[in-house]
Amino acid sequence: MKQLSFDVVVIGGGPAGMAAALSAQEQGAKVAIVERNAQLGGILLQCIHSGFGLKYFKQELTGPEYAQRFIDRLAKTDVQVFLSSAVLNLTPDKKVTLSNENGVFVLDAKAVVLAMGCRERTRGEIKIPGDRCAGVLTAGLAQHYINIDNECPGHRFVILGSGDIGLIMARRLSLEGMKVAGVYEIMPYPNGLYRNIKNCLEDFGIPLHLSTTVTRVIGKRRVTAVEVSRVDEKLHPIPGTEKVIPCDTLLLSVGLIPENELCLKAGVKINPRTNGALVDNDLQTNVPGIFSCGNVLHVHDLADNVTAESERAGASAARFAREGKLPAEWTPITVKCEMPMGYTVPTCIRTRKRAPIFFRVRRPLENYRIKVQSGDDVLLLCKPRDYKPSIMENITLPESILKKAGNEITLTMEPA
Amino acid sequence: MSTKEMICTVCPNSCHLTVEIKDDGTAGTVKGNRCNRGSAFARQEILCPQRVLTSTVIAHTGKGDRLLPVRSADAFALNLHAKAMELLRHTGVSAPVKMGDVVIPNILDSGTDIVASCNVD
Repeated sequence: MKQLSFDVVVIGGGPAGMAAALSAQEQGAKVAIVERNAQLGGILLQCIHSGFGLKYFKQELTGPEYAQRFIDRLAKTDVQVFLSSAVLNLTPDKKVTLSNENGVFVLDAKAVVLAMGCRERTRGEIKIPGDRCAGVLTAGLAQHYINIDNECPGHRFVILGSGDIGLIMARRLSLEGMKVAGVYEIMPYPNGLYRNIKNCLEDFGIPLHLSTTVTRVIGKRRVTAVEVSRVDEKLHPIPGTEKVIPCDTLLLSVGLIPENELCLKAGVKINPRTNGALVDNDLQTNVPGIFSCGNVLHVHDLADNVTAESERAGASAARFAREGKLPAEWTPITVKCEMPMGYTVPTCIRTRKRAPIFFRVRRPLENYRIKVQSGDDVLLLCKPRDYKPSIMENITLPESILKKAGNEITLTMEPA
Repeated sequence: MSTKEMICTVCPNSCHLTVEIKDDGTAGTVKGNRCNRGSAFARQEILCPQRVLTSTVIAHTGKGDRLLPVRSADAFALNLHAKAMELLRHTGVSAPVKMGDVVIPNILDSGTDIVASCNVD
């Protein structure tokens, strides 16, 4: 088995991995990227729609354009890219085993950045009853068929879930001449960004049915229809509201799960609220020298946010590789949160300078404010505004607050 | 004079806009926008909605055919998109292609070009 040594090994060559690698390389680290696909870019390559880069490049780009800019930047560096390479193992002492057509390699890393992204929830995960026929697929898979493989996955579609990929696919299918009978969402509010509801559904006259879900798949060899039902406040289907919608394909856009199998092998602890690693403000996991960023850490709604987060992870990893550890001048502050705040990244702060905290709310909130507490002391009360679960939010805690924080803070949302 | 509510789709901020509609059908004052792009968006939306169109065309390469993602360089009239898709469906290009290369100049006299979204060797 061939052994190679690097300062930083980045696992995954999508938007997170590319940004982490570039930023580690800028800090002087010797960097490798391991990517299982035959090219860099990850999911961006099939996201041919525009809407990327507004924050990071101050310009509206398509997914492939956003990826190409990072691919071009990487080509000008000495970052070594292993394509068509699957990572088989990651150990706590940061040995990355990969397999490709040249054989099995072990990359000996001083620091590792996890940037494997996420995958789509499937029919099995949401347990839709009915026939087990062909024609039920995830929205992202349909996107790959249409935008990469030039295949037509169906003719008349029902889309379950109003996540962004489902909305984007509703428009894409319509433009390609296929029929979208409707988008059904179990929650009483849409799950995607508003601009996608407008540009992908309203522009094309596609109806969005809220508080409604698919309760049965119908078909022998191939889907011929789905049964939809209204749901009550507890999200239970209401008997008597069933309606049969003829279609040949059911697309699922019902959420994403970080792809973290490798973390478990390395002993990285997972946050059950995000299904991603537990990290501190340097994006370091509980295993020293292993960092996590992008959708494998927590599911983002904008690629631009993935890039910004991953640049921080790459810089932290380069520093760890250089110094053998990250400075721990202060006792860590544990960050907790309470409903309706769903989670925070990070869950631990090791600095007193300033620390950005990212979070999502679990339900739409009107005129709520963020409250930061340490014990019974209220350290911060923000200006009230509206919050949506589909939008990742962040708040930066300044030095003045962190110095008063003790060893634990709790973030909550309260009505103004 | 009447007013129309809309949500700006220029960026993820999604500002809620209130637009005054004048008697001649054009937009008057726009409220609720956090930047100038919001009022420009509202005026254009009242006049004639414009969107960026993205799709794919066939690219012929030495290793066989593949899809090349393409976009309109700028937004153009939404009511021309179906016709533009028809043109794109019958368009092919030969590799190598570089991001930004023009695939169809001035599509349907809209004033915007269809350009390549990435490189194909």
